[in-house]
Amino acid sequence: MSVLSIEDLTYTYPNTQACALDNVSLNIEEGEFVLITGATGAGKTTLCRCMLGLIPHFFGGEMSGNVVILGNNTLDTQPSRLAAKVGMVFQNPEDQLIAMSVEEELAFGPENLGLPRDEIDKRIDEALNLVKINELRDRSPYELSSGQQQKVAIAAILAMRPEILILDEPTSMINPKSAVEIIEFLNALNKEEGVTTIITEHRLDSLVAFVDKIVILDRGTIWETGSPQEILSSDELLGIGISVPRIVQLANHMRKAGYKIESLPLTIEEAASIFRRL
Amino acid sequence: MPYISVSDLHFSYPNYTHALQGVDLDIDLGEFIAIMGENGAGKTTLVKHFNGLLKPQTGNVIVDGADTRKVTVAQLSKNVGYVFQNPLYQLFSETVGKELELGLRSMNFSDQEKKDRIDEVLIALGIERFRDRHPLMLSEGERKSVAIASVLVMDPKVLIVDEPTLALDLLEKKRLSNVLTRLHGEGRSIILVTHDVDFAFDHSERIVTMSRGKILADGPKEDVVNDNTLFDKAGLVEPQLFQLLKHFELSGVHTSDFSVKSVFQDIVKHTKKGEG
Amino acid sequence: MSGILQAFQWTREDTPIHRLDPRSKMVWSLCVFIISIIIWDPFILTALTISLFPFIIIGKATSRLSKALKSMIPYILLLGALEIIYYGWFYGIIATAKFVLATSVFSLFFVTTHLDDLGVALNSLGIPFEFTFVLVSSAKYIPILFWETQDIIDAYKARGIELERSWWLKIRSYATMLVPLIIVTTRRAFRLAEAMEARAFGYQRKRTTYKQLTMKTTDYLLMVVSVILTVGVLSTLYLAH
Repeated sequence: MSVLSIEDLTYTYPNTQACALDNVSLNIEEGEFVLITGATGAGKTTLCRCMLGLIPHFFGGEMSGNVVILGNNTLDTQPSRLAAKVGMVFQNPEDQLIAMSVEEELAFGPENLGLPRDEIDKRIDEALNLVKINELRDRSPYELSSGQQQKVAIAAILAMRPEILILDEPTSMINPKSAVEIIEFLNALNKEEGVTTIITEHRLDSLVAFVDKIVILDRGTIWETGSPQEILSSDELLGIGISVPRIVQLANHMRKAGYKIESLPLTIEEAASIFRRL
Repeated sequence: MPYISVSDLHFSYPNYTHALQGVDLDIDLGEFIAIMGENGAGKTTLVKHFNGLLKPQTGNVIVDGADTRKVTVAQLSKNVGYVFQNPLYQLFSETVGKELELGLRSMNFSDQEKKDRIDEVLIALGIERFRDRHPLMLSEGERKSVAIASVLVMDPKVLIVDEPTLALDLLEKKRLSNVLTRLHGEGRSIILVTHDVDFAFDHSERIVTMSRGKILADGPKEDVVNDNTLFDKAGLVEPQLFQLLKHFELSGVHTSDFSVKSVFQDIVKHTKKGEG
Repeated sequence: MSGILQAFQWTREDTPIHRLDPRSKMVWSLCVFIISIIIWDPFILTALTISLFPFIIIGKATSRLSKALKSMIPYILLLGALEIIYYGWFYGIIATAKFVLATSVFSLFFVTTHLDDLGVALNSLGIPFEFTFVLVSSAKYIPILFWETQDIIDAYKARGIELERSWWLKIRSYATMLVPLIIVTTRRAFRLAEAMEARAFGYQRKRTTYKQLTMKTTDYLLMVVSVILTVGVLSTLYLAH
């Protein structure tokens, strides 16, 4: 079942000449784990904003085409309404924090939805457990590390029980260890709870093993869509600014040198076993 | 004599406990050194002592023979340039050109010399075309280049770059990489504060890892990365290819360079050995 | 400078003062504030100051308050000098004491009251959520802005510009430093607004409040005593005429 359907989306920011997105069409099915990647300025953040209706409602500008998410056309629905089912996590962990305690932070979304108090209580417990940050409940988000802050932001969105989770470069400003933890967590969430997950990222090392589909954006258009195996075997990715994981680069080199490598290694273990067999 | 010499440095912020707990470090001119560790480890606190922004509470920091307690930030900044993590904190002017002029204000150059200097730096960093643009109109990567340029005009012997790769894509990182390599080639010391392991390993021979205000490891990268307690404790993730090689246990592999090219050549060598 | 900031920041302590409902504390601190503004009688002011001591000690605010007052000494002296010039020695000193008193009670309030709780308290008094949210958020960002300003000043110094030279240079420099501060703050405001949309802010008119505040006997006691004493003190003014 399609949960997100984008048709011929073209968008230009206000007071700008060049369009940020040019005739983008994309379809995402329920339960998919999708990676959207591309160089800076390719349109990743713009695309995310379109998915939640922040474009056009919050940012203005000129938009043509359709974005239908969970049956709602974003042109006719306010972002705050869409936010009840579509969760969005942003790049800068600190700037998306609203409250002075983690507990209040997690309560904010459900409060806005008008949920009864005991339900909010349940959701807070649930979210803290899911993201495994129970010990942070009474802390102030401002004394936490960037990795912890981002986990709080994710928990705050999960407290609203979204059907789709969109994350715009969630790990680009946090330390590598927390980045890996968060990506592994998102994968578990997607596989076990079936939450459709859309993530934009530059750092692909841990992601490629987990995602079902990779969408490559280049200067506002979709360059290619496909499975990790299909996409990563292309030579041209590095040229358009995609940080192909080094073990994949290595495997591509070896393939070109004539070594027989059937499927590209997406994890270190896979790479080790492939190279051991050579 | 090392250009920067830190001995038994202790420092605490007013509301935090002990940010630096006894740090010893020597940095020579012309070195490329990466200081790594997670947030809160004390990396930024440490490097802020090198240009006098912070003064030691106990211990000493000697830069170019002078005790930093006795010199002003402005004086130290002529030799030790600091590029902040968020370029927006250090961009004060309406145009890129004016921003570079700001750094030269305190220096005794003729107008022509200043103009030449600015031209030189703009071209070196590939941002000549942005001379009359407002920094806000630029992308994050371009802004970072402007930030580096604004410090570079002062021709510092040491350049400290604080988390320069945050939020940069591959091409922007390559550009940054070329700039840092060239600056290092000119004989400057580059102090790279980062948790981007691949970037650090691509450029620097010497790695310093920190955790909780202390230095855990200080040495050539092959030594540091091979002791996993030093790496893991500092909250870092080892380079992918290093992890691969660990699994693969290639004997006699030249492990100091984890670039794709060299690992490729090592594997080819190894498999040929197996065949022959 | 940061000492002054810390005097108005909540501390994570569990004292009887912390546990008081923000509303009773608001009434009490407002009463103290009103008296300190209106009254000039040195005896009443001294009694009022002494009445604050148990609160300061039980609320564990002693070191914060003393550090703040210490860093404010130059300003207090300046103010004192102006007041003495205007009012003469006796009333000049009293005027300065009133200022310190008023500042101290506000410090006490913020040290013992969590901003989120303050927000909930204001909401319960009927103040619309949007307004209290703006109020609490602004208060929350003050320390952040402070540290950012420090960073910006550092960045400016690191350009080789000596800030200590002349008054004129200093003022001109501060104007320059405003630019990055405004830019960074504006961008942050935008990101915050986006985040709020993503948390469904504005989803519907009626929103729930998770945190509940309950007034206990001690709260009512504090309020009643504060109001009675204030009325009593103010009426002495009226009677004296």
